[in-house]
Amino acid sequence: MNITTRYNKIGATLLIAALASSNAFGAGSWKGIQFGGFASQGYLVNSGDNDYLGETSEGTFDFREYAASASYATGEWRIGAQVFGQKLGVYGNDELALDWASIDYQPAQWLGFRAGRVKTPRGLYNEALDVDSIRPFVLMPQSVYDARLRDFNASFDGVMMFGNVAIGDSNSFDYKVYHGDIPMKVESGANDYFNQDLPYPNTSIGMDSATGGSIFWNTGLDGLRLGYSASVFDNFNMDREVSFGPGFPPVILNRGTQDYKRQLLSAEYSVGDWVFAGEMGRETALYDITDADGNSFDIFLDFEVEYAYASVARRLSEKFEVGAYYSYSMETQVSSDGVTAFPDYEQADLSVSVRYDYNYNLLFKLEAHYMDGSGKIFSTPSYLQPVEDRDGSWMLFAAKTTYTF
Amino acid sequence: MTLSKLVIAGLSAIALSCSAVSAAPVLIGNASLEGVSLSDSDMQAVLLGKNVSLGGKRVVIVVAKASDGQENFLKSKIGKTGSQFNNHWRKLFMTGGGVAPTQVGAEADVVSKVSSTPGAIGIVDDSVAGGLPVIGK
Repeated sequence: MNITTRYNKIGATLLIAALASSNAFGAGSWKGIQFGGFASQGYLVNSGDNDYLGETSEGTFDFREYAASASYATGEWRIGAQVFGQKLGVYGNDELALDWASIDYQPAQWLGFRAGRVKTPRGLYNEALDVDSIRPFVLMPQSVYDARLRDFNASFDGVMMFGNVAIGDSNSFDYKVYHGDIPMKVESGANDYFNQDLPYPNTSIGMDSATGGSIFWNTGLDGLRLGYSASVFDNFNMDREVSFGPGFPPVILNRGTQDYKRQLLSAEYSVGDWVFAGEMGRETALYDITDADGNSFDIFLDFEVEYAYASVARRLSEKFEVGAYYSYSMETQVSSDGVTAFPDYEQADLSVSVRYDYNYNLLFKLEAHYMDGSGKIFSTPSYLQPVEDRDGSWMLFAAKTTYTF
Repeated sequence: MTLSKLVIAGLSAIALSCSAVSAAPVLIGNASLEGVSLSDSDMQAVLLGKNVSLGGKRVVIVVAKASDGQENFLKSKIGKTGSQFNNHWRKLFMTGGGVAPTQVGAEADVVSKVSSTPGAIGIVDDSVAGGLPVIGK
């Protein structure tokens, strides 16, 4: 039995178990083991010719996610796992994969350990990107939470220390610190993201390790929390097959950086039926180009991306919730050779959303985006969308339904 | 209205008022949590899954499907509506961050489940708490 088939069987078993008994938390139980999950299907279409999250210029139903999880806790221990599948344009391909599988030991409120495949702490919502039922938005602000980078952002294999430290009666800090590895595949959105600057395909991509964490201050003002997240990917690099023209055999060059750094500032204020949130961050890397033997060409690429968003959501009634956000990103890359020029990638996204809860388990969402700029359109060696050919001002519409069990 | 009727009406109002005061939602615990007393910040940590143990027992949160008292208690103690509380736990459960509360029908079922489950806690009106220890109010 191959791994995919095994995961399919595990997923089906969890699905049946979860459907057999569930409660409003999206969790059924059997002999102390809790089951839950969700399945969603969406539709994306945009004006113009840009293909954004799949073939969105023509409209696409290749936009779905589904997962089933199980957890069990006793004493200071908890163990659990979730299988996840998705289709987002060319990514995911409806293959089930292990999303998270971890064991916790939490001897005190201020100290816990988690090991295995663990959801990556980053900002307000990274760990819960797939949980549609907790927000009105179809797409989270893509400047910070790019759906195509889900595999890259979702989880890591390693260990994490976490806890909540109370400071006085009304303040506390939540912290998470991790170290591990993020497995990466060439057939992924993350690979395409890091393969846009030149028309040569990556043949491998990966890193030695990922280290990072987050800290959130739960302030004395009820509902207000402020946070900072950071991570460093050590020896993040990719091999590329480069062709210098007819008659020359292709050679493998490496584009790598000792430290790929990410930082994110976060703020969320939840008051009554309102939730206000904002995040701003930055990613930097200095890439070195080397040959297959590791010899540097002394050409360095200074990469930087900055992003931010502000959002508001309001629960209007038991059935309806609305939300809106403004999201912005700017990506630049400068070569030290003074010859190679890369375009700036800039995009602003103004979005409004409405959510309808048919019942506790089933919801529907509609969303409209006005895009100013096209910097987040991918142009990869296998699917070129040069900047000069893109629509600079365009609309994206999204619809999605999710069943949570 | 005679004086006696006014007195009776007044006493009735006072009695009802006292009854309303005593009908406050409280956090009860299984008998294994006898002697545990939680401050507001302790309750917040437990109800949000940041502290998973009490009195050496794994905390099992039991909630009623619908309860005005529970709704009010959650708003006043952790600043979340019932819907936000559910979302918080959905998020934790689906991201490997915790085991979700156990949901039962009504307050009487909360008492019954808490009574029979070591480490269990639940929010009920103190008038129906029976002999179970009140660990937070």
